Amino acid sequence: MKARTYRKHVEKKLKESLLATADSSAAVAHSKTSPAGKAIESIMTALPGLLAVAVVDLNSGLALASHSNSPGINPETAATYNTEVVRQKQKALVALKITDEEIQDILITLTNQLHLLMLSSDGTRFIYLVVNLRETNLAVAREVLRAHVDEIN
Amino acid sequence: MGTSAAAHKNDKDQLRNEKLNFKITIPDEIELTTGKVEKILKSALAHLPNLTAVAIVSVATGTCLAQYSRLRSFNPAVAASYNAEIVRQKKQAIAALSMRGERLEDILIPLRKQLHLIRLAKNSQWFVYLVVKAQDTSLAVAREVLKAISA
Repeated sequence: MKARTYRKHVEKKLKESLLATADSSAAVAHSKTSPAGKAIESIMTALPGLLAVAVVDLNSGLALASHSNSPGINPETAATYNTEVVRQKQKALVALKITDEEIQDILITLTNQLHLLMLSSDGTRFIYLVVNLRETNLAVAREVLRAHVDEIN
Repeated sequence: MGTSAAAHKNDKDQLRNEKLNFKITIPDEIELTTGKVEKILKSALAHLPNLTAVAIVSVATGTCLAQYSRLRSFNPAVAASYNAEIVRQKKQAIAALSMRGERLEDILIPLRKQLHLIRLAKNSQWFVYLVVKAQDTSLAVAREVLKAISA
């Protein structure tokens, strides 16, 4: 290949790859075909008033799929911190030598918001949900997550 | 089996004879009185006689200010620093998301057989860490009691 043709070729490839990443990041934020995206869709149908929801990989702390109805909440930022919350609790269980137990979910109450982390059965992923405390009660939110947690694997 | 049953009986006897003298150490930077700590621990035991463990922990350092455990094998002080880290991470998350007017109130962690509950004090300097058996106490009851005693 001539040098000039090669440069064009490289430029074309680069453009393609940039487009591809842009596309895939948009798809990750809200895909309807991946299991994580499907779970997000069904949770949004069950709780239309939710503030934010994300499916997070516990290993990397990255969101596999997410959606936010509130401009203030970036579910991907929150995912990072909440991964650390789950990991610390897992470490606590190890430190306490509690081996026959596993974390099912973590419920966090703020002044006006409820944050729920529901772990998948194999413990590699979790769903992170933020709802308004005045609109959705703890039991309902927990039940919805429990119904959809098996979909994210 | 025989020895463990005997050990269990000894534990129970010890509990009955215990006059609930808690060892309380409060660093200067934390606004909390020994009387208040004692009140929290005593009312926790009064409301939830079957609780597994209860502790009061400093958020900043993760040290246990006071603790009580029904099980010899369960030392809440061991978990205290991890739980303090959970609280700090969650507070950072709230700060990172710039949620105005939001304050961390409590964190509930239901396991299969145990419920772990954390309730932050109004001044956010310390929290009450409560562990109960899931079969004895429902999550809602444990949460309400914790809310009432740490107010």
